[in-house]
This record gives sequence, C-alpha cells and structure tokens, in this order.
Amino acid sequence: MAGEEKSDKKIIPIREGLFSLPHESGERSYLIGSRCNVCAQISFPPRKVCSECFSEEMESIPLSSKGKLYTYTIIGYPPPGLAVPYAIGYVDLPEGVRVFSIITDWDQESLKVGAEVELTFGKFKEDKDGNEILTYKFRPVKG
Amino acid sequence: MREVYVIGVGMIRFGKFPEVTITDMARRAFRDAVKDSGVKPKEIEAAFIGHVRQPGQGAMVGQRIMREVGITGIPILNVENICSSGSSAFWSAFHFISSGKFDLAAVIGVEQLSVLGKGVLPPRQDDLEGLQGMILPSYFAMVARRHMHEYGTTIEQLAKVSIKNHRNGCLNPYSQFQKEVTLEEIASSPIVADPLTVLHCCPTGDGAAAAIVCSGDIVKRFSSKPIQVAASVLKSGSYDGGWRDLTTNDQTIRASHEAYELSGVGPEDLDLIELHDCFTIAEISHYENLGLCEKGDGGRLIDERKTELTGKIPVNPSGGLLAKGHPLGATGVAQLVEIVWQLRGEAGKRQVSNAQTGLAHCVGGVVDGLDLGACTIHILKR
Repeated sequence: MAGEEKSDKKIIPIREGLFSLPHESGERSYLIGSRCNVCAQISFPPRKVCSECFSEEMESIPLSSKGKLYTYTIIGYPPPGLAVPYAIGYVDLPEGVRVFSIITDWDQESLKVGAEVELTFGKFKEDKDGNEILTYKFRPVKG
Repeated sequence: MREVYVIGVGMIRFGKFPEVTITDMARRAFRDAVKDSGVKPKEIEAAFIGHVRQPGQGAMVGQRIMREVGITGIPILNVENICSSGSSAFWSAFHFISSGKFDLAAVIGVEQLSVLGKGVLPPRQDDLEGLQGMILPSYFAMVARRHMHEYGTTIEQLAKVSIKNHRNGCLNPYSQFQKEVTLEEIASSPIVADPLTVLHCCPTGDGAAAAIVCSGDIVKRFSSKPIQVAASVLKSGSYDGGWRDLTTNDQTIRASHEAYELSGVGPEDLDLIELHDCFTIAEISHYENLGLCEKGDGGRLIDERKTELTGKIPVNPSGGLLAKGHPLGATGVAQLVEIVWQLRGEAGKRQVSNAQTGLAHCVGGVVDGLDLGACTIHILKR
C-alpha cells in the first residue's frame, strides 16, 4: 500500500464502514458486511435494518476476499473527474452477496464473465487537497 | 372503481431547446391536448406533473406551468420517479379519477436536459455505485454482457433495435432523430460502456407531452373517440443484495402480469407497444419481461422482424427513446400520446394498421440494490 511516504497528504476511505483500513493491526483488510442476528441475512454495503425481517440487530462481519465476476463493462465515457478506460463489475461472493466494484489489473484475456477475482485496495482518485481517496477493488486471480 | 379515458393529447417535438423555458414547452403541449379534448381549461379539476427537478429548475414546476396557462387554485401534484415521472403522474391521475375523487384531470410530463450540458447524466454520489464510477449506460452494458453470455445474444441483434427504432423515428415528426443508422455506423460510433456504443444509447434532450383524462361518467360530453385506460400499474424495484438475475427486470414482469390480469388483455392481444428502450439491450430484455417471447429469445424476436412496424407486434413505432428521445419526465406521457394517436388511426406514416390495443411501459432509475427504481405499465384500448 501507499501511505509509507512522509507527507501531510492523508489516505481517506471512499466511505466509512465499508472496509477495514489496511494499516490497522497488520491484519489483512476485508470488506465489512452486515449480518442480521435474527435471520442471518448478510448484506453489502452493511445495512442498519435487515431487508428480510426488519430487525435492527445487525453485526459487522468480514466478507470473503475471493469471488466470481458476474458481469463487467469497460467505461469509455466517464463521469466528471474520472479518467478512462476503467472497468467496473459485479462480484458474487460465496456469502451470497453481490458487490459492485472497480476491477483493476485486468487485460483482455483475464477480464471475463465468471472469472475468479480477488480483493485488493487502491487509490480511487485524489481530492481537491491532494489526499488519496482509497477504495476496495477486485482483480482477476493470476494463473 | 370507474372507467378512465384519455380524451385529448398533445406533445412538442423532442430535441435540444436550451433557449426556451420549461414552462413554455409544457404550455404548448398542454394547449394542444386541451384543444384536442374539447374541454374548457377551467373545467380541469386537478393537474399531475411529471418532472425530475433538474438543478436550477427547482421545485413547483407544476404550479409554474399551470400559472402560465391560467389554471390556479386546483390541486397540483408534482411527481418525480426519474425516467417514469411522467407515467407515474399519469398513474396518479388514473387512480384519483378511478376512485371518484375527480372527473377531469390534466397530466403533463416535461424535462429540459440540454441546460445541463453534454454527456451522460451525472451519477448520484450517495449511492456506492455512483460514487465509484457507475454511469447509467454502464449498468445496461453489464446487463448486455450477461445476456450475451447466458443466451448467446449478439451485438448485431442489439444493433438491430437501434436500426429499427431510428427507421421508425424517421416517420415521426415529433422525433428528436429523424435519420436512419446502419450496422456499420452503430459499431463504429464511440464506446460509452463496452459493448454499448453511442448509437446503442438514447440521447438526452428536452420535451413536453400532455394528456387530458376523464371518468367514464362524463366522457360522452367531450369525445366521440375516447381511448380507455384498461390498466394502470406502478411498481417499484425490489431490494436484492444477492445474486439477482440481471438479465431480467423483475418489476416489469410483476407490473405487466398485473396489468394483463386487470385488463383481460394478454401479450398476444396487443397491437403495438411503446416500451422503455433507453438502451438497445433494454428493448431485447423487455420483449422477454413483457411476455412477447420466452426468456432468452429476445434477440431472435428482432432477427425475425416481428417487432418491426409491419411485424406481428410492432414495438416503439414512435422511434422509442433511442430515436424519439428521452426527456425524462416527458417520456412516459409521450408514450401514451403515441398510443392514443395509433389507436385513433392518427399516426400518419408510422400508423400500425387497425390498432385496437396498445401497451406503454416505462421503467428507470438506478438505485443501489434495486432492479431499477420505478416501473409503470398502461394498457389502452380503442
């Protein structure tokens, strides 16, 4: 990860509560899901109220770091502030959860429906003060 | 519940009109609908306005429009459901009249996107998807990719939708685009979200459309050729954070099933359809969702030319969103205007012969975790 450099620029997660920060406690970082303590429904992004049973007894759980690419696209016409081309897709995790994600480290060979992909983290963009906005991404598993 | 009829319709040509005001576009569509209906403006008891409150245009658009045409003091309801705003406004009018609250109401759909500048509409930053670079075309690009993967649908089949709808648009004086496109032009136009190029996507633009709607109790006072609204259904997308089948649009299936049941009309009875072809893949997928063919066979339906103007079930004779244009709030009302013209036999060069029954389908709005935001189905009968 970046972040070792001496700088007053900060690394800011794209949104709080989506993933454990990579520099915390040296553990592997992970996406944070919510699990309903009443009906065991798992969701990402984490929910405050269960979509199945309306319970508010939700706990945070780490989600699997590997999944399958359900579908994807390569953007040619970006919204303001983003450079093309970039790939996005939906990743199906073994928990039965589908995660929208930027896809990184891809080539024409590895970017396929059904491809095995793994979690990684990286810069989404810089904000107006030069801080790095950090987000989760998935990349095709090599070999 | 009472019967509900459309007794007057009007619209302006869709296009890019940054120099006019939104109230003026709506005023012209409304004036034509009132003239067409024969009602006196002061007889209108309520107005339902579909509009997406673009930045700078603010709230209370309905009140501003009705002030311009001299109708104030009545209930005016501004309805926002993104791409389905206009048809949701129509749905509101239908149910207020059907239930007996009003006898006579106006529905107006209007939008002015040209003032926002060029390009794709900006994604919402409070949805995780929009925050991370999702644009509306990319959602449909991913639907297309999966549909191609599961059912062998080809990019040429998708392109044929664009070819058909542009050809129909050439026959419609109200269409934003009135120019045919070829397979080669579609393939070589710039990529928006792979595999969709620009000519697989509807344009942004401006427009207005209006309808005057009344109860069966008073319809004979006004019109010798009223068009009955046989079903009016609105659904929202259902939440599913799991492994949803993206090649299907669940709310279109639910809404159309209910509309078929309410009207006693099945997909095989329809003479024409105006459906929400915001992208070519959407039309292919909605053939399946509306029950025109089996799941996965949408590509074959376009290959067999069954949805052409002269086919078994013409789809988007107006040119659809792809050619006629898609000024969000206006779109759903314009679909109904087209069906009324078709059922009256007033659709000129794009007339579907002896059309008795038509269906309008409007769906849209990407919301994280939902299979789009809102969907309406209307079935109209001569």
